[in-house]
Amino acid sequence: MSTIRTRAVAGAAAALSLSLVLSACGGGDGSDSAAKTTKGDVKLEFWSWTDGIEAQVGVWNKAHPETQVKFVNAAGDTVYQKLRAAVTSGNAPCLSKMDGMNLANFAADGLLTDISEVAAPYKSRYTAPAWNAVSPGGATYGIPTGSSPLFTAYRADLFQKYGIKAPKTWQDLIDAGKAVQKKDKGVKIYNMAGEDPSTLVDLSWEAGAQWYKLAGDHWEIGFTSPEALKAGDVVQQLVDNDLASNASYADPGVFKTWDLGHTIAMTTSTWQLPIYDTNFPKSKGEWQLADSPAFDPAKPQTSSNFDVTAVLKGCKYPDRAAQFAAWLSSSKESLTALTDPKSKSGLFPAVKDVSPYVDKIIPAEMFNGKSDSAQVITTAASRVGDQWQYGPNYAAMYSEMQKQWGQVMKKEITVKEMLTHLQDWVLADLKSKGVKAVAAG
Amino acid sequence: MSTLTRPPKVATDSPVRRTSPRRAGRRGAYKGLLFMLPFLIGFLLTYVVPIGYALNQSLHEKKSSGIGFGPTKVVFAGFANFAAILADGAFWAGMLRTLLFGAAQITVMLGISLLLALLLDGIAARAVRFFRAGLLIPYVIPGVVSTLIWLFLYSPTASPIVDIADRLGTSVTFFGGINTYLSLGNLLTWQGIGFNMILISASLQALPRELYEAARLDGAKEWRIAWSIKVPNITGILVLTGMFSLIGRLQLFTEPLFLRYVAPESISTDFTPMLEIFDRAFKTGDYQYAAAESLVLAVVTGVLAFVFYRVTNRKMS
Repeated sequence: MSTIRTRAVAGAAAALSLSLVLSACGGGDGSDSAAKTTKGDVKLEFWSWTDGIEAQVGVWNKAHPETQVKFVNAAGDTVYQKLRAAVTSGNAPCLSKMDGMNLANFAADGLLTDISEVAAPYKSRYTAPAWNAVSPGGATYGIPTGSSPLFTAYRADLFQKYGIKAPKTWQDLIDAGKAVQKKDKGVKIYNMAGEDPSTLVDLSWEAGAQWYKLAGDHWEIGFTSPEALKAGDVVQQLVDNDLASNASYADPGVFKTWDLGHTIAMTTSTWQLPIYDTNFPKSKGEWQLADSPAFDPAKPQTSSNFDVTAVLKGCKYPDRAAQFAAWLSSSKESLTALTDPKSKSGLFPAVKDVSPYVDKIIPAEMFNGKSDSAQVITTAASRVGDQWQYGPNYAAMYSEMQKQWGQVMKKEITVKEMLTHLQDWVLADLKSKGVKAVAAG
Repeated sequence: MSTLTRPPKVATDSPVRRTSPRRAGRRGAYKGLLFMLPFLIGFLLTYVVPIGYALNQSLHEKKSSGIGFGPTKVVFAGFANFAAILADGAFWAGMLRTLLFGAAQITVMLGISLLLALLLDGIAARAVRFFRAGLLIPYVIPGVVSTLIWLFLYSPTASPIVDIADRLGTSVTFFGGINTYLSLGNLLTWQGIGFNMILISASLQALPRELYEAARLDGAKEWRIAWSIKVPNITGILVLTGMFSLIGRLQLFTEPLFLRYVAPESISTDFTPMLEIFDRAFKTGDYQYAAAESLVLAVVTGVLAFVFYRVTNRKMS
């Protein structure tokens, strides 16, 4: 009987809420912009869970006695909860690794420091979409760390067998999927996981949609714009024609979906490259890279998640924090070490010129060498659309979308119905939080 | 049982005690309080304070301004969160789903536990010890671990069962529609049978053996003894295990959380009330709404446990 075990969980939750009682007394002000320059020796704490970062912190500390960084390995499922609790109790680290969505979420909850002024000198080092990811709503709250531009990997041998070519557009991908279905019902062109609506995010990003768009003092919400619906239609066609498998990315056997040839293409990115040689024992060597399918071949766009280093609320030396974070993710010294496969970081830079770092990250056995893998990766990095913005309730919206995404995959609702619902939901949620927003259009 | 819990009237009514009832009572209360102090402190810190805090949170909401980035304010919102929850269809759907599923699963689980306990009661003592230990193993395994074991068996890509079925030319799916509930129910039943069986078995052992002897003399067969003597005499423990299981189901969390790894379409993030609360508090960061949801769940659980207890107790007497 699980009562006793759930009691233990409840007990832990009670203990957690108790610790919140003791810590939730602060809050309120703290919008002081960090413009001053720090003098003297300082110590900063930095939470991360990327392999290889700790070694780089050591390198930095040797060269910079005036700014000593204390690395804390914060690996674990509950890191964002721990960070929230740490900020409310006033003992947060100065810096922490985050993703773009969580940076926006933390910024919206007032848990980060606005470092716009001290970060400005570093802006020119990074790509525009990377800088967008640390600047939701226009103010900067961190420094970009890495990017993961999207491109395609496909089974060259099976594509030849089924007589199809690497898709240039999403329509090509759908047509290729249908052609494969005619020959073998069991083989799919693509995979969409039931828990992961990021496929739709990527498609919308590539289609040039803007779910959130800052317009002066308010947001314009565009889940049902023509571009967003165009992206949604691709998902709908994949679902309607049974062109995609539905392996969950959390499923322990997920890689078999591709390795056994059940699904013969995927969109992928730089952070996944290091794991391919180990996880594709049967099919490595048969894969090939290609540019991500585009909506408009004349103006091809791709999407990217960004790894960022956020500066948390209460950080006393934001200028030094920004200086360290920028060194970590833009200096040649640090990037050369981090992009070396030996570091196991899986990190791909977010700087403007990535060409010196591409060759090393390509796995030795996965790709058959016929494609110019390095060229594909460099091209993807240069094509990331710079229009995408994270709104203040992006995380809550994503959670809402996740609930409906499963229903879309089960054909219970259409993508258009989901987008229409999200449009209303986001507007209502922003309104109830006191944020100014209107429907785009 | 009821005669034991009744206060011994004779002692309090005795004339010796009557001489100074107030002083004795006050001193007694004072001493009693002293004895209770360790409990009271623990109870206050681990129960009253967190619940009070949750209540306080549930009456507030987070407000932003302008474009929504920057400092937020937590403002008093009255019962706004509760009003929103009352109208939250997904939350109540999750509650209803959990209840209906729980009712079916608990019936099956306790039925099997009872059957096994009755069988154990009929065999030799040494065998009893062996089977008891064996059936208790699933309970001894931590919930997370046993869920992971079943997760591998259910996984559409990694399951050996699916693989074998594929080779035989058929297909097996463990999720979607009713299958989701069967798979989850199977896991929970597997985890719960042993523990409930031990409880039922222990209360069977406590029954006076003379009852059986009398029944046998009257010509009753074993199954008749089981049905007419044993079962009616252990309804107390059945109600108790039923109630614990019901409370456990309403708090269902770990198992669906993990099974979602392999069946995200079938087990949504609001599949059970606890999953929804978890998602709301830790993914979205809306502690206030999650606190209100937790309180509503606690009240529903309390009311249901009370009703269940009253109804089943009335039936018994």
